[in-house]
Amino acid sequence: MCRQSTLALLTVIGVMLAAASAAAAPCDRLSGDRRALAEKLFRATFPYDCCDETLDRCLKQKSVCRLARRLRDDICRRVVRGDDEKKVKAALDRRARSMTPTTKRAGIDLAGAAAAGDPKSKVVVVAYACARCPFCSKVVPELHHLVTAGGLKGKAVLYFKPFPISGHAGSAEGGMAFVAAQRLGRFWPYALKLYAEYDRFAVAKLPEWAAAVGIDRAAFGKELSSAEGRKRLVESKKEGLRNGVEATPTLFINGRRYHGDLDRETLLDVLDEEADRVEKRTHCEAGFR
Amino acid sequence: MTGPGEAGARVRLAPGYLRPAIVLRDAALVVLLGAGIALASNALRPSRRIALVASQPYEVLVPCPEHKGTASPLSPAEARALGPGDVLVDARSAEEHRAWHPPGALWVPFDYLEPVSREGLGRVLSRRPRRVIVLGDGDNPDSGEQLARQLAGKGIKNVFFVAGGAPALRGGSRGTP
Repeated sequence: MCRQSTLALLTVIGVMLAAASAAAAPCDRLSGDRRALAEKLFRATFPYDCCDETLDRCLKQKSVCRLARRLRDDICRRVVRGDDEKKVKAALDRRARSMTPTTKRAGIDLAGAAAAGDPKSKVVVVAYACARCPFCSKVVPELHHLVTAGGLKGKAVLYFKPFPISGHAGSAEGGMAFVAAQRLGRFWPYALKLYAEYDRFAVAKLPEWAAAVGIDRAAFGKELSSAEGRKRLVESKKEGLRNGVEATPTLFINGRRYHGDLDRETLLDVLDEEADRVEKRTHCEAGFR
Repeated sequence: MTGPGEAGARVRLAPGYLRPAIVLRDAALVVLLGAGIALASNALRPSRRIALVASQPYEVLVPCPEHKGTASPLSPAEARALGPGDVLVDARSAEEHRAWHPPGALWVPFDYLEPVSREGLGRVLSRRPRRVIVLGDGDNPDSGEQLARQLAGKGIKNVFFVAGGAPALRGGSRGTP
């Protein structure tokens, strides 16, 4: 019994250690060639804000630039994932292009747009999205969760702007449904319902889903075909085109076009970075790792 | 010859650790012990505690693009000097088209919410164009540029749009009311 139990116990401990290492800081999970690649990238990367040295030198300073720490973790996450040097550098370039404070601000009209999260937040995220875009059906609810209940609660506010992709069947009708729900004061419950039912989408089901989130079905039906609603939808799309939107989802962070990755971890990181920037928290306290 | 007593003496009993009931008991003990250690070690990680219930991050998806090609701008002066095989397409609304349009312009209205219709595409292609020049409203965004890029995205070659749209072309135009 002893030999068998010991083996099983060692296996369990091994699994636990693996799980613990997966949750550890991304750079702690690197070794050998992967660590060498990460360190090479640290030596070649300059943070686009708060420190003028290379990343490895910034990280050795007494008061560490918060952005340097974020970029270090971003690099390690990507290296752990198996990305090569070129791919990591391209991702860092896109991040820098999106987050550099001097980047040109887009003209976005938020009057009447649906907001989620604390409207007083200093980080404003605008998502141009299509009802029939599978990526939007993941990213928009994820962002909604982050700003209303997740790590960005109280830090960021999310605004939704419909941008129907012309080639998607049902995108115009879905866009009209978004506008109708907005005009009837139930945008977010409806939008989340629409995306939750993404795989069962049918134009005929739009009023049914409206009723399911407490919208008056008759009023919704009327709005679906209203000329004013269509005008608003076209205006939203034209605004997106003026701002260079050509695909969905496209995000703008405090008016700057975001070109980076749209996975949860990266979004949380860059929006947190923006919150730091507007709150003027640039450096970590001494000894912060 | 061997007797029954000798045959019975050869039967070997399985060792304790291979008996099913004991194996199950040991397995249960190991699982419970492992789970206990896991929960305890997780509880000792206040800053990086692993959630007991968590959803998986979604897989990497690709943004959905508008299917558009490339179209080049054409100055109003160039658009006024069209040659044989050039087809001028008016992308504006019915009212705007009725109010004024250059002679011979083919009306294929652009809709920001819908792709160009097959019928509209067919009418353009039926003229076997050498070049397609699209005239829009000249706004920002310009409906002419949008339609031109959509036509190019459908595989039509040599598609242009009039820079500044109808207002620019109409200034000193050869159009008819």
